[in-house]
Amino acid sequence: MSTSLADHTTRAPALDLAGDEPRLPTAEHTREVARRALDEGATHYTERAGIPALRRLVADRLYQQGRGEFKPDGEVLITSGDQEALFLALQVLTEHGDEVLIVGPTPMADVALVRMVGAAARIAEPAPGLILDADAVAALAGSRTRLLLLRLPSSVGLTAGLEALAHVGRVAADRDLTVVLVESGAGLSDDPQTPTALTALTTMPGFAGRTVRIGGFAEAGLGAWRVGWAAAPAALMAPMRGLKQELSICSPAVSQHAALAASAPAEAAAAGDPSPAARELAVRRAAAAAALNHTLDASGLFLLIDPGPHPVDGALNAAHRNGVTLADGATVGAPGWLCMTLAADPETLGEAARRVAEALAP
Amino acid sequence: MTTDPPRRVDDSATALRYELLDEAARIDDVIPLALGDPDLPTPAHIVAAAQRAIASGAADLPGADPAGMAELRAAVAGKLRCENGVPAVPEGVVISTGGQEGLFLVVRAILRTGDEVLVPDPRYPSYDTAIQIAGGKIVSVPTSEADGFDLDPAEVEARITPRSRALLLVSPGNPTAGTILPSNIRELARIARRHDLLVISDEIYEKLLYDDAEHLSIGSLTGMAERTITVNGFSKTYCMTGWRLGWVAGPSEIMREVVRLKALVSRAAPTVSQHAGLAALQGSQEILDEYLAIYARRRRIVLDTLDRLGFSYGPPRGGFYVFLNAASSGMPAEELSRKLLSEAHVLIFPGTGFGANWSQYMRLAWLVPEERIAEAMSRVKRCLTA
Repeated sequence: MSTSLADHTTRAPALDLAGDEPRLPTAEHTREVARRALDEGATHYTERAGIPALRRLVADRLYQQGRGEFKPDGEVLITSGDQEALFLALQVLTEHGDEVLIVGPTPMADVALVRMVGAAARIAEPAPGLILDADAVAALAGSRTRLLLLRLPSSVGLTAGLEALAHVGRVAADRDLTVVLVESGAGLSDDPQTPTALTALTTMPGFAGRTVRIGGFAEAGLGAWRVGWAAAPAALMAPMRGLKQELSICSPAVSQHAALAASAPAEAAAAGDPSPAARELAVRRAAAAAALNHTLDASGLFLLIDPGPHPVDGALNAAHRNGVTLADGATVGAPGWLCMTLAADPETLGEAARRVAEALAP
Repeated sequence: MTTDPPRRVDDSATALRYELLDEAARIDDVIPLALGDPDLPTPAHIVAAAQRAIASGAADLPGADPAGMAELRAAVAGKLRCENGVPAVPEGVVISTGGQEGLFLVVRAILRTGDEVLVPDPRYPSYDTAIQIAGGKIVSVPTSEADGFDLDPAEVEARITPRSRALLLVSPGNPTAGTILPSNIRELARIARRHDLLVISDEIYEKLLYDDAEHLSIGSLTGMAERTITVNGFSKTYCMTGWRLGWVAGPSEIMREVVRLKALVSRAAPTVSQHAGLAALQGSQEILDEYLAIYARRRRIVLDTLDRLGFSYGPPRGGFYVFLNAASSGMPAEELSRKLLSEAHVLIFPGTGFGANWSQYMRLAWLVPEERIAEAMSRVKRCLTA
């Protein structure tokens, strides 16, 4: 999904911060729970929809955060990552030749996935300043539009005001669109600081009752463990569950146990793991100190670095030669930027920022 | 005129199996001889490798390549070369989130709408889903109890048309536990070359062979590597069903498309599982002999009881199932399955869970401890002779 690293490598990189998905470390208490789960035999198939406790947790947290009320049985599905959930939704909720209206900017992979399932992608570009343009969405919604795909929070800082979202909701209602809302960056923390938009969407006409909500546990340090979730009204969820069984039977057992453990950040804080806020502060300080023009994406999972006068490919090569592997920002919907995921510790992030600045210096 | 591929799953066969599982969950002391989930543990050294990866942080790393960890791909390629005689290279291997996903991706990569795929009947229903969603058309090739559910090359060739694109082989088979004789594998290879067919060879039960059964990987034969995609995994051999780890291997140009699809469908396989898989391939294989011996004892108990009850079956030469013919019970298999569940508290899947033509058959799995197998067969005997 990221541009091929092999195209840029000249030697093994010292700091590999590339990839278009978060690379947060797994908290120690989560690792301990996972190891214990393996000792206790979590090596068999689980229920195909996911272990009941994890489905209940997803349902409970969504409810607590005002992101909808879903029954754990029949309306919540544990998947092998949020990407699998998105594939399931797009595959079963569109027909061949349908149009999927994507609220841009969007990762390239979303467009590719829409095309893979036999639908056509139409992207509603944002207004200047990365503001959701509801009029653009409305203008693109046609007779063949079947589904609306929206990522909130956006990985590139798209601002989605409530009024604009309400307008989009009216479009969805008028056109009887299914909505797929990817909320991977929001997390399922029990310390809810949920973006207002995600809460408001729950009851907005046009979204209520027609929305599949999708998320993952990458922001909890489980990106590589491949566990995610989908929550939807039963009628939308049923075909997703059916295809899940045929595609991968169930999600990885140990990963599901890890997700349960990782969804208790109070324990993580007690264990002394650096919080997302601490990592953000560290990388912002480092980037500022290195005089890098940068922005942090709205989910807090990626640092987007301006390559300045360099073309992106050239900047990636230069960074790589200086010991840092980054990704093309286009892979996360931010063309023209370099993308650095958050790594294991703030010191590494700081060193990476310093090396990038050195590589990009005139 | 071609029609658009279906979007959703016709999961009636799967629904039947899960309906029975749900019913069984409501009954006390059911002995399940149904699901293909080995009760034996993942070998300790594999679990230990995963735990080390978790402890060290290696399991946290998503990896840049959706095709999987380089070391694991190399290990799979090495296994194929050394054990199977298939000239595999790491670039031709993709690690999947379970063997079933691997099959799904391969089918998606090679089929265009209207392409025909020759598949044995009976079969695990997920093959149908994968082929149909990819726009393919299933051409069923009948097999029969009389020859142990082997695949007759003549039956295959008689069904080839200009739209034939691929042949799916499953050996040892599910639900039949039959194997395709090496002589038939060679003839099928000739047919594939003659008609320019691709071959998808599902070999997930390859290590579980009984009596004098032999496994021959079709990809090892002359002229076949360039047209064969081998599908396999860790679930059945290493008792790793919950790790969701499999692999596919084949020609590089097909695998490049599989990688592209893999990234879109689910990104790379779980890193923790990949570390476990690496340990499975690189570590001691001795425990597999122990596991096979356990299965063989259980198999004997089952077959002895079936013989005494007068049920016929295709000799189960591989895997951990027997596909038994329940006609002598005087009732359809689904009715018998429900009777055994409600009266004997033993769950065995009816053959209609694997194809509409198999209403007289049942698939029995020996994946509970030996004493429970014995108890289950005793209950079945009492129920049917009462």
